[in-house]
Amino acid sequence: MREWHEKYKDDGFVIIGVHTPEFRHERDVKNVENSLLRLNIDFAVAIDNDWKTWRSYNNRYWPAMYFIDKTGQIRYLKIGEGQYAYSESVIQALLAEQYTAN
Amino acid sequence: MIVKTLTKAWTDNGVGRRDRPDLGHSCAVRLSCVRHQGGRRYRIALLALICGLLLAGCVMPSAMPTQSSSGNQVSQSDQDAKVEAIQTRVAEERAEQASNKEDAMAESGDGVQGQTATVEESGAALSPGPTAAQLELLAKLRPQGEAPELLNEVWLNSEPLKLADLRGNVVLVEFWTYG
Repeated sequence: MREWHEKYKDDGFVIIGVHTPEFRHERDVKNVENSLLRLNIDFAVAIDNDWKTWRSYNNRYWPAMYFIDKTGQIRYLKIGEGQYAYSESVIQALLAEQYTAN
Repeated sequence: MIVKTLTKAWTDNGVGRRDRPDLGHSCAVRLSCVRHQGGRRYRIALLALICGLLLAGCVMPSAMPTQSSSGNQVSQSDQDAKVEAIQTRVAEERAEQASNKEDAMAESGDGVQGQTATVEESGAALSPGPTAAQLELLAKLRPQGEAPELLNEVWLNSEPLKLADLRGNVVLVEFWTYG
């Protein structure tokens, strides 16, 4: 994830981490902040303590990645770890896709 | 002879099965089953052996003459002939390489032109637009509906973002928890 952020951030690729806590201690924003420092994460992270975004996505899993194209459509959903090479090829293909603003 | 043996083995198997009235029905069936498999294995092994022999028969005749002419003197002259042949081939190859080099030198002007052509082509490939493989992948990645908007007010590492403001960007939304 961090690598993708570094690699593609200048090509129009935005990573947004939505931190939806499972346990009480994960609700503490300070703890999340520390973990970002520890994991050296510098992409945007939304604090979803009230599970608003989680619910609007009807999400059920950690981790779950939604790949959204330039028009705002979800094109690929990856649940769980692994298959990073394929996911990266999805990012590259979506970045290469032509986009004309309405 | 082998065929005879094979047929005999086959018949023996069959006869053996039928000629055991002393065995109970279920037992006979079970035994016949086991034996059948055994017989099959036996037949397969025999077939493999025959095939092997046939193959060896095919290969051997070509190998035979060299083996038969393996007298000391003959092999010596054979070796001499081989060495000579190799030396001639090496000399020929060297000559060919040299002439190829000369050709390459003579065509160096064309080579430069060829290179510029390649550069122009790769430049065209770098222009925006998905490759054929990417188009294929994109066709598989059917739109699954518009991504719901992000509804959070507290953000780290960034001002609050809205997907609506990120059109034209590829966005990866990942749900995670640090715990």
